[in-house]
Amino acid sequence: MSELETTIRHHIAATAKPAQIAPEGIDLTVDLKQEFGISSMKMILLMTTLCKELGVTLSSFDERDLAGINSAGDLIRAFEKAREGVAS
Amino acid sequence: MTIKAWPQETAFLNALFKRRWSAEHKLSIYRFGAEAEAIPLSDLQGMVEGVAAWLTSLGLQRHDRIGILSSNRLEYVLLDLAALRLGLVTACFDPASFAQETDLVEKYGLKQLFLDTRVASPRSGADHVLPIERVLEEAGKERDRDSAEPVTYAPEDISTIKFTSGSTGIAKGLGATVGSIEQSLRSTQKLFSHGPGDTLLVFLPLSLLQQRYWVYSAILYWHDIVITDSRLALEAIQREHPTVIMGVPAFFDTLKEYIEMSAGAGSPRASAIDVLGDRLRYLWTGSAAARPDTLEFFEVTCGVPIFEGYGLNETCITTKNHPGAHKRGSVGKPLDGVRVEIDAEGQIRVSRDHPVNTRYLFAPDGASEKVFMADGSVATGDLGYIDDEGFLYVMGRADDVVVLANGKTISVRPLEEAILRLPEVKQAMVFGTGRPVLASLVCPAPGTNPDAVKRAVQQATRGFGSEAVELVIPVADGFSEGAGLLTSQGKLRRRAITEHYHQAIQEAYGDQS
Repeated sequence: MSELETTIRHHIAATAKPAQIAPEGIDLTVDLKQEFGISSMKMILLMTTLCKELGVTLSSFDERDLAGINSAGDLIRAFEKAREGVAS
Repeated sequence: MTIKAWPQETAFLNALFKRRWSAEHKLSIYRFGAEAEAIPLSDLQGMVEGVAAWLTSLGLQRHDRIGILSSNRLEYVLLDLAALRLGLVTACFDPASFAQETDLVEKYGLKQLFLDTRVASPRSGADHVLPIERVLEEAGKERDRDSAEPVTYAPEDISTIKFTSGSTGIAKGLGATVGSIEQSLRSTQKLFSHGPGDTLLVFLPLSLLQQRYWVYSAILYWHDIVITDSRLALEAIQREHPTVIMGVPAFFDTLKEYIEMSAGAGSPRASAIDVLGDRLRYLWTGSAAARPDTLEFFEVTCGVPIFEGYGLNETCITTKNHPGAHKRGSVGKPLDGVRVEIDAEGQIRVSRDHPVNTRYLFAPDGASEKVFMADGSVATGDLGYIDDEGFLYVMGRADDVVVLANGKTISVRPLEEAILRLPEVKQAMVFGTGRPVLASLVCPAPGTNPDAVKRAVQQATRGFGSEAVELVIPVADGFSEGAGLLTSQGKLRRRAITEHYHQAIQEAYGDQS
């Protein structure tokens, strides 16, 4: 498991509280809203927190990419892409 | 309509285009996929003049109606100000409610519709539809800009059309008088004294007239303004450290959570300063009831004032807590020129020196008469009381309209009717005021599977706009007149039902409440 994936799993679990979710047990394909109750407001919280920790500017995301984020796997791919942008 | 004469020399919107805008203060825009940009207001004025010249070249004239269906962006601000400059009437559509509507031009008599193609697709009446991106291109083109003086408004003139959320049924449209806009600008300025040194953060949709007030305020009172959308609000806060944040309860709940998470085991107050900066004067909240624990967190734990207020589309800003008169849990005292009364049914009635209007421009037959009373007051549909010191408290809705924590207004009756059409359901009541999502108490038909009922209800309430019932709470005993839960006509006694099932409702919402 990559460091990025570990970080994202950790923050999904923290955002979904008080629901008790084991970060390592998160299925990367399930819908974050339906499965963990991460509503649009909670998603703002999650994205902002991840951006701060990972050194990415949220506004650097493309709006269409953001609209396609529904699962933990989507988040990992979006941040991989964003970090490539930062590095290049 | 009786409207008091507004002294010409103090008519704000008339003064807006007859003075030079500040070069020392700026409009900043945060959006996805682009660097934040900051534009001096003096430069903005030049761009507005350019857009006004372009709109004129399109053949648009005073009193013509233009539509804007867009997310928050610079072009929105330019269009709105250029329309004010020319005396055009803007119809501002919230993408969350109108993105799927394809006949706006015909339905609302628009001469031109400006469309943000990121949030809505081109539609019928394409001759009258332009992408909003064109606005910025045209702003910089050379044209004759001195052909017309800015228009002069009278208080009863209409400069914009406000729409109700329209999550269900037909959206109601209401022309806003210039007098009402000026009265609100003047009276809020008296309470908060925004000025040089202030930075106001705006992220709620600019389709809400009140959010555009703060653009006019920046020009009139010389302060900075930052505009973004809610998804970038936390980033903008941390980068700009605004002095005022204009929000709604659901956002401040999220901000609270963010500060708490950032604090970890440390001090929330220190975390608040880290997140919000040390310039913050106050937080502005309205549109829905704030959670008491959120108010207490900001005021007591973090030492940050948060001021609740009250108002509807039909009344504009009615009451507001402010630094000079603040009582937590209330929505403040009436603004200057606003009178609030509680009628015999306990309903809040509002009168203004300068009414927003006296009837809807677009609404089903009879809708205006239910809201705009013959004595000039607005029947708000909200229940409330006024304490000995004159602070207003809002108790809830008198009818079947729910206001979610995010400020969305939803008529629950069509949802309930859809649920009651299900063979699995005997009775239902949808609710959710002050909550993040809609819920329904449901009395299932005998022998039905609770999980099947839940799925059926969620499915049946999709397709009513952006909100469906997410939480379904089965109740075995049902609502009866004998238990005081139905009227003698069989209507739901909503408050009694909510109280009766309080425990089950609390459990269903859990941490979402």
